[in-house]
Amino acid sequence: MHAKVDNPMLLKVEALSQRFAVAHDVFARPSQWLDAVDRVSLDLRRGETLGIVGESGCGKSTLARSILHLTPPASGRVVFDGVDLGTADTATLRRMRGRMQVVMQDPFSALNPRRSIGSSIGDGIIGQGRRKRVRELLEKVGLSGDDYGRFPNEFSGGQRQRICIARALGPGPELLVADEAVSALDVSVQAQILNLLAGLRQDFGLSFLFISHNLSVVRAFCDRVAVMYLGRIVETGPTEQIFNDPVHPYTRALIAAVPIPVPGRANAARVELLPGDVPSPLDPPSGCRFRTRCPHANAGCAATEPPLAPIASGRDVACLRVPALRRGPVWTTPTAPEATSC
Amino acid sequence: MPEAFITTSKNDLPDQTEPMPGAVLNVRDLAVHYKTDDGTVPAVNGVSFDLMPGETYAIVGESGSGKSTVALALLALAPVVGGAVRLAGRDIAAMGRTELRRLRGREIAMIFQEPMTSLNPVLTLGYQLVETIRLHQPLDRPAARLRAVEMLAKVGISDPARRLDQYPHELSGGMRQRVMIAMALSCNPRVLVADEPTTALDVTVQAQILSLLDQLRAELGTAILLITHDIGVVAETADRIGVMYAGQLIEQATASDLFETPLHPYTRGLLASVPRVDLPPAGGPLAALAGTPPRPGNTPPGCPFRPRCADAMAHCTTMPPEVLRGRHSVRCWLHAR
Repeated sequence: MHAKVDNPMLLKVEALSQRFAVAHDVFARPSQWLDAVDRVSLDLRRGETLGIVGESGCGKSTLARSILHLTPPASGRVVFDGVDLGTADTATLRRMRGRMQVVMQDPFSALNPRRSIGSSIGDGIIGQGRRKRVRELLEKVGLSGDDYGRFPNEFSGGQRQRICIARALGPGPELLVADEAVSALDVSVQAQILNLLAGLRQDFGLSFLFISHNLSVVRAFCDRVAVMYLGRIVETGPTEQIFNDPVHPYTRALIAAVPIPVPGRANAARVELLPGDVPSPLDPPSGCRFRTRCPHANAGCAATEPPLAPIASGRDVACLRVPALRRGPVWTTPTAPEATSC
Repeated sequence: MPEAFITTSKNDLPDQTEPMPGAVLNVRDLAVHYKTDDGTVPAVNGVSFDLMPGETYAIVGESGSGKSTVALALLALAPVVGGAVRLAGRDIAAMGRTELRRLRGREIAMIFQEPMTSLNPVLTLGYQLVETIRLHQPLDRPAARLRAVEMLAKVGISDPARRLDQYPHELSGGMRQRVMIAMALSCNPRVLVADEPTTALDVTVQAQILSLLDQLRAELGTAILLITHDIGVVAETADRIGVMYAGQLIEQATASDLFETPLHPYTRGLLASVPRVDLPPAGGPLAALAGTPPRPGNTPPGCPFRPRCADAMAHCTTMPPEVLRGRHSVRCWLHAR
């Protein structure tokens, strides 16, 4: 991937937290809170793609919605191109929303079945020449301009995701948030959509917040990665460094658990498999939230919450036991490039 | 390379040759059609395969390929219109209702993708397990309960005796899938059909469940038919693999043969389009297959993959035969001569 460290900053998230009331007392006051996202900070430069990975319930989708202020965060700041979204008035926020668009996971529920795709896409376009612009966008995403008047039910899942992407491009965004945008698609279609997104990224200079549970896809698409566990970022850094030398025990286990499409290849990584399940976010463990499943945990991990601290240039890890951790790739067999790989 | 044989039979849908000796399950020319408001949808067309005792056979395919319908047909839960399913030598099409009920659970059991909806939310785990066990085995309640505890311990559930009094909502998704596996294996079936057993689970839990299934297969000698869309899962668990496309098994081979020398253009494209977590990206676009899989009931005549195939020839408008190269079979004209 190209170095984008010199590009100007587009998005800055500072100590963002999001909590939801899950129970109320007799006076309808919240009595129990779920901390879905807990003091997450990240930044994104222009043209850069940041992958956010983690298992279900780790808060990655909530983080995306909070950044976009679809649900205003409980605390923390989101600064988009110098504008603090939390203090912006409604008109400003509306204007900013055109510059940051979102593509969701399920292309079947993301489109209004009773409206033609042309009018759905046209909603985000202001001013003259709307129809012409919609036709251009349809061609841009690999459909035909003549599809303007057709309805969502006439399209397959992959085509609908193309329509959702065209709609997101309508207002001319600088940031595209892709929330599991290829997860519902079949493998052969998934590769097509990823190629489309990569092409658009280049053509429009888009920045991406790419949220996914699929680590293979993240490795193929992202410049940097942030790994989340129970609402917190446990590790972040450049993609290739994270995959070649994961440091946090959770990152290592997550990568080791991904099945590899070569018989016999993954067995070497299986020593780092995790026991148990993710604890309930309603009652997270004290100190380090990963300690209940961590092979390196000691008494200190229960008492102190590990801060996200730099271990190398551009790499941060939230772990108190960094010197004791295994390093290097999780696969012990050599990663020789194979003739059959893409 | 061994010489290729072309086998043909009636209906242009060639049958595989002789059943494998000792197979616990033979499926021959299976055809399943669904009746819908828009007419008859042929979901499965001429599928043949064998399952050996103690092996894991994986059927891999994309959505709409008919892989789940094959699974349902094995338990006589789908409208089979042709072909035969023989379990331990007995044709399930010839069985009556009572006989089928005795078969399901006892001889062939199934676990589904969604463990949340497979368990009854208002009954305790113990009730559901004991009921299953007593339905098929001549045990009294305390003995069945002991068996249930034993099964839960076997699938790695801690404190199994206490779990019996819990309800499904008290368990996580991974735990529920363990309970489903315990229930399915409680009567020691010959065949376990696992339809996307880990698709709803997170990767770290998926790895646990896959290794549990493999360990139980080795221990109990159960043959596993694994239905999945995940190429990685297939590579790690299957002994043999069948690739499904548009209601047909287009290629069958051992796992190592299929991954090392995929023959069908669809298999090759499918394997190439999977991004690899263990390799740095090669740069440039991913190798993607053009087009989308046909909707069931809307398949083109001849080879169903023809419209997406880079190697399509004039010949491909007629249905390709099943070509055997040793134990590697492929349904493609490229290999028919």
